[in-house]
Amino acid sequence: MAGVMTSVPGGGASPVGGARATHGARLANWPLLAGAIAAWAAITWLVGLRQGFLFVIGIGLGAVLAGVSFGFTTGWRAWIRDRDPTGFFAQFVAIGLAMVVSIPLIASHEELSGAIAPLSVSLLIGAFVFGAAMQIADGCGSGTLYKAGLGNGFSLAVLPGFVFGSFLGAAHLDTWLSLGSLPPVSLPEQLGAAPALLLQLAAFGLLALYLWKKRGPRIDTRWKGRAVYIGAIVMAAFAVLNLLVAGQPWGVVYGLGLWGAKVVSWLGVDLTANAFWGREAQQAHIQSSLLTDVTSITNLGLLVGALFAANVRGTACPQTRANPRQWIAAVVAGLLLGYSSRLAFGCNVGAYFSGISTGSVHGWVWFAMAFLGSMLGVRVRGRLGLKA
Amino acid sequence: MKRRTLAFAITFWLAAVGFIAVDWTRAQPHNRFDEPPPWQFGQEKVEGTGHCAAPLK
Repeated sequence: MAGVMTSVPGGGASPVGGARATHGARLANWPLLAGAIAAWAAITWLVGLRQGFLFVIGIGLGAVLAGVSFGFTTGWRAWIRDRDPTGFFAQFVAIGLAMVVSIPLIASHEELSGAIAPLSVSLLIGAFVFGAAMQIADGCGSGTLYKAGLGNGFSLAVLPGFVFGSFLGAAHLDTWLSLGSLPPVSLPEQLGAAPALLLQLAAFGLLALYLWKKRGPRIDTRWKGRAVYIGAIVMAAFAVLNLLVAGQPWGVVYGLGLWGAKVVSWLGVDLTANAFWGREAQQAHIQSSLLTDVTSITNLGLLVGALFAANVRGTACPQTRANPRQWIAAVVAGLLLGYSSRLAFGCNVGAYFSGISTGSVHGWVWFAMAFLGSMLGVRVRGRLGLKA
Repeated sequence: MKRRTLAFAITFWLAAVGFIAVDWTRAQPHNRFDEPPPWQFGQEKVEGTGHCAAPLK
């Protein structure tokens, strides 16, 4: 079976099926940098300073993700397959640092909000499906975006489905919520900021200790050296900046769903009667430029930053080879990623990273269910011949 | 092969820029002088921003 070339830590292409890893085309750096600066200037001039700042924050996040090949999906898969805890440790560092700053900030400034969501049946189902699909797609919310930005063909096939699925998931959310839901639980509000912070840090510490004790005997980790941890620190800094500028934590999938809603509206579909997209705030977003939307603007910046960082490293545009079944799997996985992430109130960014770093219990539930889903997804990935 | 991967990337970026441009022309005009403060921290809360963890806004 022909393997699919997928990006790996290191940013290049990891082949399945015996072929050598090869990098794709490389673009000139200066035109990309000039384009990014021009885009920032245009956004700032046309929309405003806040959106301009958020675009730069998105560029930073994309550059970090692509620059150190920070993988949420590969981090989990490296543990499931090889008992390599490195990816998990880097994630815990990033979320933990963001949490140490974000929880006290939100507790003391009412103008800042956390990513606090209900504990619903849809959360359980959505997170499980997302965890499985992200292993098949080899990318989560941020991963799919940044790999698409650097020209990974497989992620480019995943992204349209992700957009449409996210739109559809939001459109059906009220039906899923009718299956049952408990109110959102914010640990800082329930316990106080300091106890919530200590409790969550302790949970990460215990998890890290467990992963270290259970690590594999001979780990040939994909993440060599300190780069991934430095990336984690920088990512946490950008996530906190996002909170300070946007007033809400870093998110990805709301913006993708909004793009889908716009396209569907352009096709003549009336969304005003929909339980989610028909709401006044959502209609206002659909009718406004996506450049005015907080999540969309960081998503766009993330795409630009990933392309630039990968190009500097010479790892942009990795070659992609996949058989028809794998291409179909990519499209289906994209749809599932988008749909399930809306049922689960976020992806690895909005729920796992931002949920936990702002003290939402739904973030921990998402983490547990998505990890179970990933265990299934890794098996399915193997059956599809996607072994990287 | 390299040309094909480059073509993938260029097509994606052209589509993205085209999408933003079409959206801008179809969207309600934006008054850039009626923008919120450059950052939220320390300012009056702005309601109605979308986030995937806030389904009921």
